[in-house]
Amino acid sequence: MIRRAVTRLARQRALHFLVGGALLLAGVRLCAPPPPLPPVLDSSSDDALLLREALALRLDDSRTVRGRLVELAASLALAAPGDRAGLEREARALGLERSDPVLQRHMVELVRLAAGAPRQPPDEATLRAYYAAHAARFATPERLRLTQIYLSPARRGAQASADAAALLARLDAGTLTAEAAVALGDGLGSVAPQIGPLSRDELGRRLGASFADAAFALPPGEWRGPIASSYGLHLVRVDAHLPAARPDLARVRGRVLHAYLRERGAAQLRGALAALRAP
Amino acid sequence: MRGLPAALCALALLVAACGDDGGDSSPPAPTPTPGTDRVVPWQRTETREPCDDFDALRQPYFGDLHVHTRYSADASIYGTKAGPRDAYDFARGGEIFVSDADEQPTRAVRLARPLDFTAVTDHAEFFGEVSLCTTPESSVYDIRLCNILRQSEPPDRQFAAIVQWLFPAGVDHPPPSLSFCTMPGVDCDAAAVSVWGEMQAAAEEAYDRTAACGFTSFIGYEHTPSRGGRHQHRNVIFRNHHVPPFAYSQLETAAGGVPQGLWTAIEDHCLNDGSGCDAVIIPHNPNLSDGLQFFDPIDGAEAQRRQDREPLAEIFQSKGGSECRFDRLAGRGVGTADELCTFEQIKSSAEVPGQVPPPVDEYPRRNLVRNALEDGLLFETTLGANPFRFGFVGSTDTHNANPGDTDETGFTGLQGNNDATPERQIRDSLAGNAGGLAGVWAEENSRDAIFAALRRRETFATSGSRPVVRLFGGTLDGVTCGAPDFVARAYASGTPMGGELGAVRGRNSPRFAVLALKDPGTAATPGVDLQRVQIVKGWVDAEGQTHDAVFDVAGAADNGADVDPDTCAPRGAGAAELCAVWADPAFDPAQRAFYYARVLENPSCRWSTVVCKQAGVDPFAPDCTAQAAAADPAFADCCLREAEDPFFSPLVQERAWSSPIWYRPEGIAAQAGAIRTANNAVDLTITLAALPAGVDVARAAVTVELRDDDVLLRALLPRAAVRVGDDGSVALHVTGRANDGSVADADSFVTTRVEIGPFRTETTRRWRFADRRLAP
Repeated sequence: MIRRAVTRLARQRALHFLVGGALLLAGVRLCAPPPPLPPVLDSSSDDALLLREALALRLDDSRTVRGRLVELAASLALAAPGDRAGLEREARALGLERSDPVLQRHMVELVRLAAGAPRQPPDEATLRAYYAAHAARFATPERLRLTQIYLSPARRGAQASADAAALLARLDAGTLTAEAAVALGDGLGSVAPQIGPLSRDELGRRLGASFADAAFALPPGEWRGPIASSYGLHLVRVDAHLPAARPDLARVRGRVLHAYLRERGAAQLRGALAALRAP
Repeated sequence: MRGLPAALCALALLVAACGDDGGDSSPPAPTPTPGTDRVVPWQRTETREPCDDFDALRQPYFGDLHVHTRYSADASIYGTKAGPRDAYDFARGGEIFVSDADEQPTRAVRLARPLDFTAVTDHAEFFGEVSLCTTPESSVYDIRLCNILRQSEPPDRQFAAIVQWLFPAGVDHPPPSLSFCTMPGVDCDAAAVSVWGEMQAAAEEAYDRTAACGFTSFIGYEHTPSRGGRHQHRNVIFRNHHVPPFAYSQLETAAGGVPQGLWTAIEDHCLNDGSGCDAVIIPHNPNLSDGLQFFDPIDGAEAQRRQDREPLAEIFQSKGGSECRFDRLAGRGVGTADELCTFEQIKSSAEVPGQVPPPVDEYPRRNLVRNALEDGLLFETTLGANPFRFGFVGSTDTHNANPGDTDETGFTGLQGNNDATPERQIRDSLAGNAGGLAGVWAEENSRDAIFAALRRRETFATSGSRPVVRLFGGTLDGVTCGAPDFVARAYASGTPMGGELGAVRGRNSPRFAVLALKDPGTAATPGVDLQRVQIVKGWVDAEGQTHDAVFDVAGAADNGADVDPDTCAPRGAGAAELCAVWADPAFDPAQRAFYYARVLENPSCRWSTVVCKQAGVDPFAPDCTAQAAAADPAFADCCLREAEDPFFSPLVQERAWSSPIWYRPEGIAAQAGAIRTANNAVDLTITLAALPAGVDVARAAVTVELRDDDVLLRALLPRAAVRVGDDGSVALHVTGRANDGSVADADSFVTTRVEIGPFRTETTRRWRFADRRLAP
């Protein structure tokens, strides 16, 4: 039954439209990063459209719908209990195949699944094109490797800033090694003096977003600071600033394929809805 | 107009080609050499690039080890459409759509802070059935049971679907599958294997095997026995891509007992099958087990088996806290006087239909992790092995495919359409919470490193925020708060959380060093300051009575911090970091005990308070009830007062729990000696302060094993090497040669294990390398 319904769906003009529309959308997306996807079904009016399509496709003739109609009619004693045909007829006379929320949802879901289901996996060229257009989403972000010396306001109080300035001066003057400066600082317990390489986001998760932003703005090889973290003050030297890297498609193929299919399915569904809305 | 002009179609095809940059078509990168010259106390079992970011003294990672997607039958009933790939995308920071009240995926959600690691753990029961029922091309798609699974219904009408689908998980002798699986041409087993394969593929795709090590996925599943609604659920987390061919569920393992049947399946099809498979099993939310989750072991062997198979327990998740319980109306707790145990309690003790929540005096003692830990000490006394020797993790148990979505200021909901709207969140799910997180201390963000941390219990749990906590116990020579070498010294002279101690300072208490850092939060939502750190001690006395005590060791309960009731903004200051080195003032070297740290944040608004306020109902307002009546009757519970409820509060203190450290009178008290790396000669004396009870040292085989990432030495000691002192102490003199090439010329974590007959004890220290000697 379902297979037949899906086959019928495939013959509909609306579906032709949505396939074409999906291709167009996919093509546009390949050229420019898309804005965030809107919700696939964003209003009850979408449901109404899909229900209308389901009824046009006679999905209400399915075993599921007919069984439910018989159950509903029996519960309302609309006909003799064993008279399935009579019960179904009476239920339809009341329009229950259109008004029962369970049946509505069932048929809407069927159309939604059929419209949004991937038709076939993309060929290699299509997948490569998609990856090229969305490479940033799958890239390894830029990362920092840094050395930091922590000065705890909880232990040093107001002296922490002055201590930081004094240490920085000695580091700049070359009279203090990094190792010696670390020993003169405080321990943070979960954050080692040598950190990374970590992305901006990862560094933010360790020491706070503002610290990460400040660190990523520093030139490599120079001691700078103090920079405030969520915990206190830090002198920071960026030891390496690694650029973002794009992995080979082979390494991220599964994620790329999933993203492609998800995006394409959503586009197909939006295309179908647009076609159904068209006069 | 329902047709697409041919020209537009052609344009679309043309446009589709424009983004091709001639990307790389080469096959996957050549296999890198596994392992590096870094010294780690675990084996590298994977083919992957070494992580650029590596810290031998370990760093904190946050994850979620309890995540459901549409392949879980209950999640499907709740209308969840997102699958494992979506869940991993979400954990990595991607956007997904979760279901609304009508079970449609319309709500866009994204984590403010991605996770470091995640395991999707769908219920293994009914993998095949769910897949067939949600695939329109399936021959059973139209049958009634499938319709029941897919139909959209509000929470109060889901019971029939839950019962009809999940009853096999609730009976002692379940059928092998749901009834429709016997229909001609229907192969539920094949469908289940297909789902299991897809879960593995999703995990593999999400795993970052590059040197960036940005994200770790674990393959896992949930085993879900629920006798009459009494949960004995467990998550199985696999170390790497070597996994059993089938996700052995309650339907396949029930005949072997719960959970022994699962243990056997994992032993037979993973641990002992020679494939490189490894796994830990994590019992979770015992608060809904009616005491069954942590049952009595039948003997010492079963106690030891449980300790080996289940090194962790989930202490916190969206269905409540399981640490401990205190009823503020009754003024009593379940085996405790700890008033902070009102936190996020579920009133019922199981999900038994119609159950009247038991009063505090009848609440099952072993629904709570702290009590189970205490009873474990007692079993160690009587059976020689502690069955309940688990570290802690938290997780969400989301059924929305949104791992780690624990932000209380923007509650998404975790149960599909059940809590998809503010009205349902308050009316139907008020007792639930936004879930917890699992923290681990690991050298790098890879499967091997994180799994090793899970195995050795160097883990912590949080109630959803991201403070970090470290706990060490031992002599802790020279360990000082704030010192840059705090961690290095602590590892050298103590054991981290999850480990055990003997009488390391004679009759004096071991020292415990605890360090906590506040959650840094995000730019939009800064983390809440810390209020205090506590040490929770449990012990068993000479009469066999269990006890607990809670010590404030850093920070202050009366720091004056609270919450602005108008805005929910924190008021007053707390601490960004707290640290203490502490000794137990009531230490008795003869009493076995455990110690764990509990870190408390300053008060903050509970998720429900935020939801209520957004609906125009202020839980702090004197006219809250009138506001609720004006807004929607569904919000009536926004106005619940502490004086009316044993547990609920509009304010919470988010918290973290370190795994415990266990003190055993017969544990390893001291080690002296070294391994000479020039010739691998071992000369080591190990001291146990007390004789293990019931063990005849004169007759039993005494074996000592030293290992780092592999076994350095395993020696059966001659009688002459075992000396029992007048004070009952036992000295073991170990000599021999370590395996060639196995001893590193660098500081290394070394685990020393002593076996005397059935008795086992072990401890791990970071041994120092100097003068061509590796010494504890």
